[in-house]
Amino acid sequence: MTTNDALLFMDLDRQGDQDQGTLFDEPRRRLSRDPSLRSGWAQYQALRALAWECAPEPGERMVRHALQQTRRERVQGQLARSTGSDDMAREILLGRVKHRAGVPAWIWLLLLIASLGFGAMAWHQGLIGPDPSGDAAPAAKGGDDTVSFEFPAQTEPAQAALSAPADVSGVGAAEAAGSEDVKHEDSASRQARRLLREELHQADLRAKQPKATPPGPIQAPRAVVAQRPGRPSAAPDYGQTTSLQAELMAAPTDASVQAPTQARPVAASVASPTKAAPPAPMLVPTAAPPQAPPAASQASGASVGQDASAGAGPPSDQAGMALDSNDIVVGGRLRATLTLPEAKAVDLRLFDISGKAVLTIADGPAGPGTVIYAVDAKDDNGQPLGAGTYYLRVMTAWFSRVEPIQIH
Amino acid sequence: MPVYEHYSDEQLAVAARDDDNGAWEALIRRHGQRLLAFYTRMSGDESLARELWVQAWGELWKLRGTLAGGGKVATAMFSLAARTAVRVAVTGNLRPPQGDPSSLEVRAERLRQALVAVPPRSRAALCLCYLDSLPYDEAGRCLGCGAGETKQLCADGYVALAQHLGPGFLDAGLA
Repeated sequence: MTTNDALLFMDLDRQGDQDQGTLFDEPRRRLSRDPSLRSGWAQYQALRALAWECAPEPGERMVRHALQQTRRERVQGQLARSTGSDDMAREILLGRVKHRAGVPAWIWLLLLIASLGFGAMAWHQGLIGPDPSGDAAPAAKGGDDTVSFEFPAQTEPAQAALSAPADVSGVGAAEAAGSEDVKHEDSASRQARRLLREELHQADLRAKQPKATPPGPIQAPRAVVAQRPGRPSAAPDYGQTTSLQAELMAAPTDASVQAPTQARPVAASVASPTKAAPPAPMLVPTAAPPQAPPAASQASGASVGQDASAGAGPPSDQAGMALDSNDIVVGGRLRATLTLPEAKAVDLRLFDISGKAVLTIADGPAGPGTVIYAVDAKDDNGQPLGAGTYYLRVMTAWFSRVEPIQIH
Repeated sequence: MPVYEHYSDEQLAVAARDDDNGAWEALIRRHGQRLLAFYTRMSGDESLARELWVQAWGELWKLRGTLAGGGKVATAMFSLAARTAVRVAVTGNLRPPQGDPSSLEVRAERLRQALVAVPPRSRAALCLCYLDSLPYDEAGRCLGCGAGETKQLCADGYVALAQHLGPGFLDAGLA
């Protein structure tokens, strides 16, 4: 068989598809005249029939494989669009992608657990708490080196005292549970320190702006920003106040005290000194001869003496306060000596462990010179102070200080 | 549930472009046998042909957008198959099969061996035009050449096939 014969068969084979009229007449005549071509044409048709007879058919399994391949291509296409690389998508489908080298998940889990444990421990120790700086006065907001300080613990008597209005009934409610206060002294004392720090901070601010802010009732701030000891400070230096805060923050804690369960803003529960009645047991300081003994007790049980000449007080670096004793028996007398360079406002109060001002000893101008205050251990209502821990706070234009007083 | 048998290839391709799995399966069932026969004739190995067949449908899935754009499904299908088959064409085992020469299996195996012995491009043209009755122009598109060259390739392939089969191959049976 030649190529021309093959072309003849193919042209004849396409006759049914393309009716070309007389174009195939001559080949058809050749095919009818030449017997060899007739057998060739027959084989031509028979070969095609055999080819189709033995052609395989795709089974259902193959169709499923093809559909699976289609789905694979679809997923690979999506992966290629996601990863931006066909090779990467192929490697992902083949499972050849290496795991990203990094820290195993269990290490991250371990670090997370450790962080949570450390946080819980710090919370119990009162080292951390909600950030109160958002409510603090603008002047109290320091730089980055100031840390927020929140008083976390609220015992039942402290809560009663804090939730009660700042009047005598609140003091009574707090005293009603005096034994509980002793039990939870640590948490309550922290609150007292916090309140004291707030007021000390306000007093310092007033002292730095004496003209703009005339002496008046102390407005307790809603929050306090404490200075962390040992860190450089960009905030104003409050002198003794700062050191006292550091001292108070470093006070030992009682291990038996229960863990605090909640934090509570202090602002709403601060016993506002502005509502305090005029200090009944206190006498207005009067000039006294040098080296004079303390004035005699008044009927209210308070006395005050001054040891200085008018207008000739000690230097300002000698200003300070001294207590005869920090331990007083119930019904005893409290004696504090103030050294004041000039005659300026003095605020001397006694606070209980819940932060309530139970006794206002001095709230007005005093000095210059040495002023001695001696009062009976009674509150503003004349009731004897019960046993427990109290804090004596003095605020002057030169210094502010807090001294713990223990009444047995 | 649409009846895919009533749809044309173009309609099925459009549906498959829109991720209609049923339409794609209908296309596979409609053209699957032609494609598998082509692969079998081109490769001479049925198992290899089945593997190529499955992979071809995965490749065609990527081209479904082109199919839906107006291209003929058969042309695209055989174009891909021709490129793949020419690339993977094997010579195969040319040892004559044992058994009754008049049996269908022996004759089919001899035909398969004879096809493998034909040069790949001529074999592809022969399979497309002669055995699968594709028009010369479409076969030319599949092979990347014109209709005349395709016809010539097909004729050369047929002559080579007839020589490998030898005279009297079909005399006893179908002829």
